[in-house]
Amino acid sequence: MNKRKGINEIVSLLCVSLRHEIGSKLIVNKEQALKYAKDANILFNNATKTVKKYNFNSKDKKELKEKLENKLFNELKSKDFINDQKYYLMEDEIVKVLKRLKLI
Amino acid sequence: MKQILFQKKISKGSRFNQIYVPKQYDDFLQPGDIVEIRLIKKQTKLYYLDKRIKISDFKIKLVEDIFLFLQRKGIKQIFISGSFLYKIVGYNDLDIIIVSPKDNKKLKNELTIKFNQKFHIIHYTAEELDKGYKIDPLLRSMLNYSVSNSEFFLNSKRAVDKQLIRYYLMMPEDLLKLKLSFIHYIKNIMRLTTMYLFLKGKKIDIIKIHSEIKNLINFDYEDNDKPTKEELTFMRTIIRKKLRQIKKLL
Repeated sequence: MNKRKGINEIVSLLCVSLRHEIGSKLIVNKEQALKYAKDANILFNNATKTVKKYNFNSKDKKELKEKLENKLFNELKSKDFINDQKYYLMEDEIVKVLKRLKLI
Repeated sequence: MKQILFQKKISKGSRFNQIYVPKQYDDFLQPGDIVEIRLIKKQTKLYYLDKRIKISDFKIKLVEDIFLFLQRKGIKQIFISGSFLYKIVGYNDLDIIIVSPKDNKKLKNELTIKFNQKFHIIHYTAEELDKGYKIDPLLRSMLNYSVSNSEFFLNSKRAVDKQLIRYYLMMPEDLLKLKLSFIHYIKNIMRLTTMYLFLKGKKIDIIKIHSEIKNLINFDYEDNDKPTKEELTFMRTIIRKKLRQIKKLL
């Protein structure tokens, strides 16, 4: 299986999942959004399935993290209804999710 | 002292609820005597927030038992909603909305162990629920078609929280790019229809929404199947159209 394709697929899913997760924490009526915060989980679960298909080495993992950081930054930038606090949460959320997937 | 045992139902009185002592016990039980009362079976009344809700005896028993279990834990207002109420077979999980001052994280696990079912528990304080019903189309659709353990009056006032709607629009927007299983497209088309009705100030009727989706998506599918290229294009066209309609109203 093509590792590069796998990395890109995982980055896309995690990026969207993290955007949902961060968004749910920062919108004004977050207590509402958090009740249904299943979207982030759905996307995370899909990413988990894809991760299991590959055996990533440390170079791949580094590449994945860098791509995820760049893509998530741009994704968050495009969502102007989520306040700027989103950029401060980004790093922590990335580390959390990559740890869960044993990718760091 | 002679033991006397009989079972009676508590009846509703204007100032006090009461238990009537049958006349045949006149010699043994008289006004002024002190008695002890023991609860044998708790009466649970179900309140249907939509008159069309028809569930099987098995489901009624399950709902009553769940309500009883939660009431014993001190929860006063409970709602059951979702596919459990409108799907005859194959409901995904039991959506339970609990209204109480504090969120008990252990409840989900306790319910799963006790009833051997999958639960999705959403906790609200009374204030959150009130506000949520006003601003949240998804909560509104859940409550409009639910069963509760006690009377609940829905306040029809609504307020548009643009940020919340835009947050809810993220997933359908993402589905225009991501390839996931069928269920996510269907659920998000439903979500979009719900938001559209909410923004238009119309009643959110989950049964009507279901039949609309059924008419729109007229091919056979299993929830967890991945759609074909043609099916995906078709569903994305619907999502795109609905997104456009909603954005015009924001």
